Amino acid sequence: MQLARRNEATQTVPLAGDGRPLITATGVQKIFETPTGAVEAVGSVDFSVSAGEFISLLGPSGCGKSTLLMMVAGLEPTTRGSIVIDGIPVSRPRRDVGIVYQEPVLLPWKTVLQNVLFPIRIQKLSKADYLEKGHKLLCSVGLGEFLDKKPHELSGGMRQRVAICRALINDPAVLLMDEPFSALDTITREQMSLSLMTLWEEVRKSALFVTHSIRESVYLSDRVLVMGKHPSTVFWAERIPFPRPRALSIEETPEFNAICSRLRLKIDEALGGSG
Amino acid sequence: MRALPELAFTASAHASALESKASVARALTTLRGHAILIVLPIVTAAAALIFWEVMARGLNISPVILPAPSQVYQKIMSVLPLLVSNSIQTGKEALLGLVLAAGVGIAIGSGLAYSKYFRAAVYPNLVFFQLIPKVALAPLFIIWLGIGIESRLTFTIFITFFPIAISTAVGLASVDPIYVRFSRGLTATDWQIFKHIRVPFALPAIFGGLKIGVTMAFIGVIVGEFITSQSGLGYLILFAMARTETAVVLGSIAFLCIIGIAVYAAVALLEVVTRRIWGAPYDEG
Repeated sequence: MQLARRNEATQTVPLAGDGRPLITATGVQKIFETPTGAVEAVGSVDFSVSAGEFISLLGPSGCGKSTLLMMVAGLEPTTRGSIVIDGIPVSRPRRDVGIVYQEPVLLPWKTVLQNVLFPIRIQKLSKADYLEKGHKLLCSVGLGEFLDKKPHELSGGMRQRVAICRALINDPAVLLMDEPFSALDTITREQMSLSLMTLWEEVRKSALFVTHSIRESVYLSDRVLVMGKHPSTVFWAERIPFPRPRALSIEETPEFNAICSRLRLKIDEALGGSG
Repeated sequence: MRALPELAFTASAHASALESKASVARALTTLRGHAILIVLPIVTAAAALIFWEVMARGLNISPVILPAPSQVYQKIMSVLPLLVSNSIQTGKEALLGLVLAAGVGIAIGSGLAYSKYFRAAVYPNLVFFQLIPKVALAPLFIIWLGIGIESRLTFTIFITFFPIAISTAVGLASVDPIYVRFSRGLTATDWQIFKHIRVPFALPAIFGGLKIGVTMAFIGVIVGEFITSQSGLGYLILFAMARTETAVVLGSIAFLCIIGIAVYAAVALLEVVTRRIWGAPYDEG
């Protein structure tokens, strides 16, 4: 399960994941019945995520990427098709899946540490076993001094970092993130990308990350899956060859910008050139 | 679970309540603020009392119609033990009625919020019976349950539980859905969502209902004492009225205010303690 670590040669592109598919989506489709007729939110999507791979779902608003993520999370039933995580088909929310939403959704009356340990409480596990892990996670995102603070004493970026730690507390197989930085300003977004990368390097979970930011998806991922609107399918997959760990400075390189341009072109094509 | 539209706490109502609360907090930090918020009402009340005293004496109003404040005070002092013991009697019954009504109200409110069948079956009937002037129903309780504390208590519970039930139902139903979805994502059971998410978020609404319940409980006890009792402030008021001791009537009413405030303060204190442990800190940004 452990991959090529940072102290190996960084000239070669390390293979993302160990090749074993952890998430497999087959023919996944979602149709909502509305008073004005059936609306297809997601039209036949197939993809797979290997163990330890970081995948972005990139697309414009309304292309169904969040709906797709909710189906992977088990919070939304598929109309057609199936999703399998770690060998077990997804039919409802599961403990081996950690989810980070667009809003931090922290419980206002609990401290930062209590919030991170909340899944442990719900899942009736022993708090003592996870206390140290909670400490460690929060320290690695720079919140070591804030364990006893309440959410209202934290900024938006800090709260979202708490939410990410919370999603990782019970060591899930898979981390799902639904535009977790969309509610933050651009400067904070960059810092959060770096924070997420640092944390992710340590845990190397399979991750599915929904975003509408091209640069964000290229910086963070091993592969970017591009979704369009009509139909809402994954119509392009781009492998991102940068070795890890990735500094923010790779965003200045020509290769980075070439990839971003290509993705932008693909998205424009899908939108019919309307931009 | 849909929010009950009839009594929904709107975001703007809540926001303006927070705003006035914040401005009160700000005012209490300055000396001038203190002066305005504390001294001014006291001065106004004192002025009203002085006006009353002057009018009562000056116009030579009979003490049977409207005794002067000084006369009322004299009378209160002379029957103080009587007033205190009856106040405690009434206060105890009101508190007991409130506690039992809270149990019934929260249970029914939870049922209304959770089961659409329960709500469809019960809610319209509940509203119907609550719209009947409840004081008119009091004699019915006496026929059924006699003239002891049972009928008074039952009647009190009957009129007190309704605002608590409605506030509880509204509070539980109007929790932000993102919290519910989040806890479902953690594989929480319905009970866990109720206990860890809905109840804490519903606490302000529930306590709002409990505070209204305080007034209802006292109405219930006083009405009950008017009709059936041999003790308590309600009884004392009627007894004094029969003997045209208007000063005692006014004194009883004054003591009724005092114990009413005491019970209300107890509820408010309970709210502070509960929300410190369990509820959201709504005052902070």
